Amino acid sequence: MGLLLIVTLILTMLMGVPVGICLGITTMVGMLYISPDLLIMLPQKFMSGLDSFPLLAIPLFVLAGQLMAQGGLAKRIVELSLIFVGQVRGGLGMVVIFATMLMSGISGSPAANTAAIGSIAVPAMKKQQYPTEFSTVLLAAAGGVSTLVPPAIDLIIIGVIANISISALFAAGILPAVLCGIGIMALAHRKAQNLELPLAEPMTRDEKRQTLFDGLLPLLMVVIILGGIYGGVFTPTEAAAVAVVYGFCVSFFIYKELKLTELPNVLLKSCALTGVVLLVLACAAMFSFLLTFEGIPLAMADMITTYAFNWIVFILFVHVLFFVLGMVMDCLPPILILMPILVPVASAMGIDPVHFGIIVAANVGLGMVSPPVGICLFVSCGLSGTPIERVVKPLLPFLLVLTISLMVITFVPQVSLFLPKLLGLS
Amino acid sequence: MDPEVSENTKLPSGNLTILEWALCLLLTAIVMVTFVQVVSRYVLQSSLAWTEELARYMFIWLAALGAAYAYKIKAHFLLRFVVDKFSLKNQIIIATLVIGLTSTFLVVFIWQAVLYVGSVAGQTAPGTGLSKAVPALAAVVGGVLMLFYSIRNWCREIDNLRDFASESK
Repeated sequence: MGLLLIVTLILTMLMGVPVGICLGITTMVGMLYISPDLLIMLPQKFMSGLDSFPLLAIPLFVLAGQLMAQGGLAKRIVELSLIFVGQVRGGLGMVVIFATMLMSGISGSPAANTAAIGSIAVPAMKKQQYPTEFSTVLLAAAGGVSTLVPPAIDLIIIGVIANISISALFAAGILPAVLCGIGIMALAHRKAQNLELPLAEPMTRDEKRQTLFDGLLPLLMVVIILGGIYGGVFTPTEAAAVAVVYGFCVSFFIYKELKLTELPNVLLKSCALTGVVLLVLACAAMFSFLLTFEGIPLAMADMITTYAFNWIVFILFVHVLFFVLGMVMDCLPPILILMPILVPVASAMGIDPVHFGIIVAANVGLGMVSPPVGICLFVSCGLSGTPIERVVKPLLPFLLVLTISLMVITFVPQVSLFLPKLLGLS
Repeated sequence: MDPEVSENTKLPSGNLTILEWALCLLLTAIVMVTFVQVVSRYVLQSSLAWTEELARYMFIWLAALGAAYAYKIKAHFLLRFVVDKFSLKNQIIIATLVIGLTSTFLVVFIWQAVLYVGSVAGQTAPGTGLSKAVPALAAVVGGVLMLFYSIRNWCREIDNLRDFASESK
């Protein structure tokens, strides 16, 4: 039975069937093999997979991000970041990282963040004679880090699937994201020194004041989202709705950069992205039901505990598993299918579930930057018009830094757990 | 994990279709209902019983219709690198196999979803008083639209592949 499912899943994926439908077809084949009476569970599990209030945060945070990109908030975040790191060698590169992370504090979608900041930053870096390959990998690496920055979609999904507090995961992601961010910023600085890249044009005091003033409104959005969640004012989903209303008001009434005629496009982009993610999620719920019905998760957990005799072996196994899967496919299905199996095993081995969630999210982030199917790499290569083969070599040092950060996040749990404990969430 | 709605996926440039209107309205309504929930709790000092349930039901519809829309604009995540290595003739065979498998699954899914709607039609949701068939119907409608768009995409893909094949001859 297990073999039948694996063969069906892999074959359908290689044939180019959309990933969500692959999971559906595999579930259907498995159910027909056991008993056709089980087929009624297809729509039932499809519905129960979607019927969750925390998941509503996904389209709302995506929409908030789209509004920011369209409404001029993303542009102001880039300009604001220039004040802080513009006068350092490689400052513009650091701005890309800093701004992508700030932007991630509002929109949960790494691909959308990479696209929003990249469309502004890539031409700017070109103007400052940054080699295209260098600016492309910088942007991709920054996008990969944003899986850890609240309100990342991956963290929401990990929370819902593995029954971990989303607020705790959001808090736990902050310091690891800062760690990765500092790592790649330091690397960008070093590379810029080697390449002798020019400094950004210095701003006058008035320009600085104006930029700071303009950038306050987007910054306030981050404060509202995170402050609201941790101040107990609203749930992450409600925070997302507030972010959308705020983002709309700022870009429509204050900046006046969003036109009503553009609104359908903004909404539809968010709907399409939501549809893609949620089809996989709903179909993975059907597939997980079939696996549970067959007792496969229990058997897998037993097998893992037999071979992974201590937590270090277990965690390295998890890293290799997610990294290999992340290299060939989108990471959403592995998260959806494996997290319910792996989290109880991790807990039994004494790993805090929140810490484990962050470890997986960091690994997924690394996968998004890695060739051949890393989505952030795809987006940044698309924006700069560079073929992926040309960026592989300059990407390697960034992958190394992110891997070292991942190891620190893995083996020093305090990096993840300090903030949730401080806030009384863990 | 994050699929991208890339710049080359076709978003509407002129008039919106019914599906596109429905999606825009659903997403706007979800924002408003969730926002009203916060406002009523803090400003009016009373929590509304129906907002969360209504938002969840609209979200289920948004997910089902959004999945169909993503089919329409070909935004779903899929692996192309293996298929692209095949000859044009074999690509046509693979595309036909894919549509065969996809439509078989979707037909079974829609049929089961219809049965499911029938089985929950008598139950009412506690907050809104709506029949539980209302969210369940999303699976039927979403399934039918996905089936429609997947067949339409297949027809276009076959036409394109044939054009390529005749041009390369």
